[in-house]
Amino acid sequence: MRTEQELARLCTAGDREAQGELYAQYASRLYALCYRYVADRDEAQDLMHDAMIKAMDSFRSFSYSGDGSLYAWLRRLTVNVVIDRLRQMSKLRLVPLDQTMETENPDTNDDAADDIPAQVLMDMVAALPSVRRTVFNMYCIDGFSHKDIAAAIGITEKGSASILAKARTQLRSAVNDYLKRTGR
Amino acid sequence: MKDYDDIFKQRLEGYEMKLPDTDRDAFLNRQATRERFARRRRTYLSIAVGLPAVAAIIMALMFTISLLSKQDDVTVDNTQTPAVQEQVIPAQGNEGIAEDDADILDCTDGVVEYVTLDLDGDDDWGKPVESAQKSQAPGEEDVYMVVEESPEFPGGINALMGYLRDNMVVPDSCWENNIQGRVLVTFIVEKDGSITKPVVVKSVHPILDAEALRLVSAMPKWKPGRQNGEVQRVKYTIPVNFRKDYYKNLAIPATDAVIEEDIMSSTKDKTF
Repeated sequence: MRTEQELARLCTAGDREAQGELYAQYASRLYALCYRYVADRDEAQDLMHDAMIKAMDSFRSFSYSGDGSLYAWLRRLTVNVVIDRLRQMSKLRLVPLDQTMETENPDTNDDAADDIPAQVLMDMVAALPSVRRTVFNMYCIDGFSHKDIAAAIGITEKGSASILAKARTQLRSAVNDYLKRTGR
Repeated sequence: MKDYDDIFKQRLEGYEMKLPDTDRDAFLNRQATRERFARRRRTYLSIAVGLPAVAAIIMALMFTISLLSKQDDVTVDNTQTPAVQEQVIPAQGNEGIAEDDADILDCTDGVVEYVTLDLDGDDDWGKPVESAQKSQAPGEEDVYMVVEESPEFPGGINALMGYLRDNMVVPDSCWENNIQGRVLVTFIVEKDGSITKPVVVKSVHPILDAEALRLVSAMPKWKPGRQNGEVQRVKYTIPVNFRKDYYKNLAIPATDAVIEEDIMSSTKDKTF
């Protein structure tokens, strides 16, 4: 195992083995990250490649600050690549005609939700309309502020907050549905 | 009212999804191709900068020497000339390729340059597909992967998109069964512009693969690619997108009005 710094340096230098190792360590996580935003496997795969290739060129701007900082850096870069792509595809403008709010399900047992398989949660996120999905991912999972989000996708902070509220409502309803379906 | 934010965050942050086994090699090949082009471009740049410098030094040197001693002219010529020739030859050979490299770099670097041409943001256009490179390499030494002047569908990429849209025949049952995706087809643009040897290099489903092959085979003659001014056989790859409403969506103008509506209506939900 190489240190993160060394791995980054070797990758930039064109060391094929190091690039393979980088891939082995991060590809499937970054792939899942992209999928979480675009809800399409082919697209996610393309984006993951683009992001890793971009990383090879930009490792100079990576500074090591403890274990896991390489992943944190890659992750940020990947989100940026994904947002750029979504913007180009105008996905962030096209809000599908509203799947109006699902009727509120009464909340089920809170702890039960902890057992939902990650892939099921993933699919719930994927099922969100793309603007909601983007805002939810950026805010709740990848730790961006409403200010960052507003700047990245060209909406107001208030708009970002209200889209997030919609996303949460839809997800909550999906979780409750699932729990009921699986008899919990 | 409970939010499941924590659960989503805990479970999905750092979650891993399995990639196809071939993906690692595809990625490494892509990166290697890119590095190779970048290196060639650097070589070209150093020659472009270095050659005039070397020439200037030599001229200055010869001038000085000729002032000092006319007799020494002959020997100076002998020692200096080979150095000049060494520099000149690669410079001529690289000129065209390097220009082309710039394009290749751009399209792998990011997607920006392709936005206007290819609204999907794909950067697969004309890009050699690694798996095809391997399977088709033997016995086709006169097929170029990259040329100065790429072959082109008559009317350009937008016309190609239009051609695909207008001629695509996909049974509704495909959409109903969620059979969709992007088929990559590699083919050779012959010197006369005709299309030969179409091969599906990324398959989605037999029905769509067959339709992609039919579409590609039936294309009108292309404008052939050129290298050093001569037409050449060139390998080319295009993505054929089979997604319901894909082409229709491309035509929808993006408006801010739609998103405003989303925000407006969301303020009515008093879920918080």
